[in-house]
Amino acid sequence: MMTDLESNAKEYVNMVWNTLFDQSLAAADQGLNPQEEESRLGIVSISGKWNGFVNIYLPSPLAVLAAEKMFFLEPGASSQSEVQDAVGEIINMIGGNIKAILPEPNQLSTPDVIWNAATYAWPERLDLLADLSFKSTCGQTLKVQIRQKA
Amino acid sequence: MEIDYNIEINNYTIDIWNQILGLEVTPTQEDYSPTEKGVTLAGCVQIMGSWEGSIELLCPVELAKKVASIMFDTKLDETSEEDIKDALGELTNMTGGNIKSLVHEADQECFLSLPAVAVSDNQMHVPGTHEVTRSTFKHGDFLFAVRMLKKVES
Repeated sequence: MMTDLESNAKEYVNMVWNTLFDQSLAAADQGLNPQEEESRLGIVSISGKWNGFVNIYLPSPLAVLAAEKMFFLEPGASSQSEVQDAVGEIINMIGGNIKAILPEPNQLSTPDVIWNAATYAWPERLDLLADLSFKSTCGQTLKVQIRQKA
Repeated sequence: MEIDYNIEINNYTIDIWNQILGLEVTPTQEDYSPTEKGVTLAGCVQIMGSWEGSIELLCPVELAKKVASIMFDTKLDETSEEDIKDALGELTNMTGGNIKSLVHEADQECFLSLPAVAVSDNQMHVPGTHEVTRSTFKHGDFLFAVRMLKKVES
């Protein structure tokens, strides 16, 4: 059963995706595995009364599609920097919404974008509070997670 | 008086590497910009609050391995990938913590995030920021760099 945080986060992810791309997301049973599928990772930190991270894993082709849509680019015309900016903007918006329902005062960081998600090492002592998988209209899955410092 | 971040980062970095690891590092004008993939680790901490931005430590994997072996008292060839990333995260955290104390306003708190560490071709990408300063250091034949990035005011 979903916690309040999970169901709120699910709603925010859908809202952000819909706002940015005018597309809805469906729930997916199985998320992508960044160790097996080339993917981009966007992270924001939240610090203060609540400490942790909100992150998104996007498979590489979906991150490219997101950049093309966000910056009105022709297919295949996006640069690495534009894809990084798009991933950063998506997680910044999702994190900003989730921040608002966490204990105040808290601060949201600027986003970090890791190009090869498989190389990222999460800090130890984090509790995984939410692990949400979604399927986009193009059939690709993305994953949003919330981790709290233990 | 305006703070010279380059000088401050140089001093903090020299002190941290010397006091924690017993390693001598010297600032250099050489640029650390490896083009090969998979040879650099990037450690990053975010500063939030009255000053917003991030601090990155870019370090060759081989130097990070030496750091980890000293920090965790392991043999160089027995140092695990996890130890290497933990060690670089810890160094980044210490560097960021010192810089945080420099940038925060006296009456307004700043927060430091947990460190993130990833393999990088050169740097971690932090959208919406600009580079305030970048200092390069030398230890033996190794070069490494510390970058300070500030959030662009919207």
